Amino acid sequence: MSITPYLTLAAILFCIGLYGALSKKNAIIVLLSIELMLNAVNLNLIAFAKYGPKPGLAGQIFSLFNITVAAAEVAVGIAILINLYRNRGTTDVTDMDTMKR
Amino acid sequence: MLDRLIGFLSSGENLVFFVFSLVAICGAIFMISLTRVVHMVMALALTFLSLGGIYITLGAEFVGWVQVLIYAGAITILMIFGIMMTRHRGEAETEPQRPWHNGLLLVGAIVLFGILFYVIQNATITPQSAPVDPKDNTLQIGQLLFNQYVIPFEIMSVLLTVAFIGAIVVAKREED
Amino acid sequence: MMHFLEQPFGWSNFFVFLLLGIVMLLIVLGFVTYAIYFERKVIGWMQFRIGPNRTGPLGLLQSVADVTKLLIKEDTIPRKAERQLFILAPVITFIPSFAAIAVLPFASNLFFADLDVGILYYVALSGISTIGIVLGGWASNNKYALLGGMRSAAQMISYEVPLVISVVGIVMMTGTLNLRLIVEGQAGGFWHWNFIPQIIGFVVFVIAGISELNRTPFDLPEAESELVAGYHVEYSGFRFAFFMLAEYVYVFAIASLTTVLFLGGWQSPLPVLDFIPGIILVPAQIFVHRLFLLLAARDAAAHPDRPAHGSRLAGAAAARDRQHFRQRDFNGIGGWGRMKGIMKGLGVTFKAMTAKKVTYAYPDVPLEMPDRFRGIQHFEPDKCIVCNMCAKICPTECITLTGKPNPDPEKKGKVIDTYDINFEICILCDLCTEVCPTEAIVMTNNFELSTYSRDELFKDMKWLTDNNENVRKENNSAAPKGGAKANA
Repeated sequence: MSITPYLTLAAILFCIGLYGALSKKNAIIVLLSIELMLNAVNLNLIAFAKYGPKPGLAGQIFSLFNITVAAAEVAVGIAILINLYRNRGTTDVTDMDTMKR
Repeated sequence: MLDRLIGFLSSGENLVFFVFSLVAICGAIFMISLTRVVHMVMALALTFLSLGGIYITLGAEFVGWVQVLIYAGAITILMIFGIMMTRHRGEAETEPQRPWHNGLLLVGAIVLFGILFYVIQNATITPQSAPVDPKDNTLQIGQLLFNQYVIPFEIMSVLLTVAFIGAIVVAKREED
Repeated sequence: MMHFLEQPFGWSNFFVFLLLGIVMLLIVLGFVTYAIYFERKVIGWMQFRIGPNRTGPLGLLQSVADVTKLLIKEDTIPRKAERQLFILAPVITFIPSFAAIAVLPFASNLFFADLDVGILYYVALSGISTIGIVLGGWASNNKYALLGGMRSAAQMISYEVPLVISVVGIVMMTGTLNLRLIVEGQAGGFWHWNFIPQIIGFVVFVIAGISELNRTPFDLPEAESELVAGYHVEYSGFRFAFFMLAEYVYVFAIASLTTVLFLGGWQSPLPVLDFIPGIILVPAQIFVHRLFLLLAARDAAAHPDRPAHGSRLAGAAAARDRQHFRQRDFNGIGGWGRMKGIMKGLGVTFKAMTAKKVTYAYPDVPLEMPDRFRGIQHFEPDKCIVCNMCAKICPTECITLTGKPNPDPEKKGKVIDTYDINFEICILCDLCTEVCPTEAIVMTNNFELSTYSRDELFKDMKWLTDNNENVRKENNSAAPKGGAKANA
């Protein structure tokens, strides 16, 4: 087993995540797609930790940090969404354009 | 082609990888194509779970279970909470009203994947040493975290605290 | 077990593990069955009742019967429910609960997995169960179920944090997350057990464990008075059974986890007792914890709505206490008042457990009827003179009788030929026995008349003659007794 299948899987997931993040209108789904992209990156990190040029645990530790940041991001993101929904009554990202007007 | 596929699947690790990656990609595609938000979250939870499985086959036992705990457990439930607190039922995701935008996006994503695939296929990555022994993976991670990576670890805890307080402050009703 | 785990994975290993898994499933199902039985019994004792005693000896088969009933019940899915998720939710809840058991070691050589991430594995899987609960609540399309599901999820996630943090002390002491190694670190008598150096962690773990299991006083998700039953209100039949099963499997898992983490697992408490095999010690401890969980949480003694004469006191105390808890929880005030409430409730519970039961053990012990109880009639053909008085006086005309000439030619009069009472309309008014001059018809203390067909309520002379048990001693023959006549 080489590293190629893992990198390909990560690339597929990253592209699906990118498409979701840019095409979906529901803010929660946009957040989810970003999580998917982060996961693809984590997969790369862990695959490199095993099959990369310099195998070691640094990749795993970095992905742990990544997961922590993702968790914090989701918590704050959901909080912002709930507050926005309370004030504006929508979760549609296309309606969140007060700064443009 | 078929011979290569059968050869690929005859090894246990490859088979596990194949099943998990299939489930992960299916989950991700369902996340894009389903119409109800809760179903989307469940599909993505499936992806997170199978990614955890892939991490474990890669010898990252600790990260794999952390993935299950944080992503499949906590983040999914947080998302479901977010859905229940913001959306009303019956509102399905409507068809996109910007076909040009989405079409271009699709093309862009496929092109990006093509480039990535080309690069991955052409890269030669040869390990300079044997993969690390997955035994005592947790112990090694712990030792590294508290020695070499102790500063990032502490910064991470500060970040978590800040995010935690910030989330509460933001989500709190103002009149309370 | 280590022997099997170290072998390369092949078909023979697969079947060995499959077999072990099935055996474990059966053991857990047995545990669940008798945990429910035990719980119901203890709740009964707390409420001056006997508890289940009808199915099988001592009611031991009651849970089996209940589960069978659940499994063969009609499977209802509300029409407006989210069908796929409604079906999926119990599965998502149950599978992780059973998978989490795999990591628990039961003896030094009996464990199913030797994971380096043991505790993390357990916590991660129990987190997945929560998804099933919140999904079940959401998919039911019922606001009570939704509120119950949200409450459950919020509570389970928030108490998971103290649950994990209380274990961190042990992990740091032992230097591993592996549950087997944690137990091995506690060898050599109970003073080496983790609960002594980690007493705070132990208390926090027990409290957080009770709340993970949604037990009183942390039963807010199932708050019956305001939420009907919580997230599974729309579930019936085997789907409901799966939710209940998952809940009780977690009871098993948390009890074993407490044993393994804090109370030495299979290590004997005193070196003298080393001869006791560890395999006995773990279940014994699990049992003790189960008992503790039940008593400390006072469980369903906090259900004042259960019918029992004497349970008012216990129920009221517990309900007040629960109310108290709820307010305090939400106001963020705790302290001595809460502890006093718990102690008071416990006191009432223990007092009620040993008190005399008010339930009748009917029909094993026949009911003591009052002297003038009006039961089913007993008829003695030899005494009857076919005077027709009983048939005439009967207000509902339920008695029909025919006589025939006395077969003995030397004697005059008639003897009874047929005598029927239609118990479909008989009101057991006692007038026939009052009026009978020879006491041919008397009343008994029996009253059981239930049959599967109305025709069987039509009793003939033979049946009435054979109904000769518990015949009432006092009939109208003697002088008027008691009541207004005697006083007048």
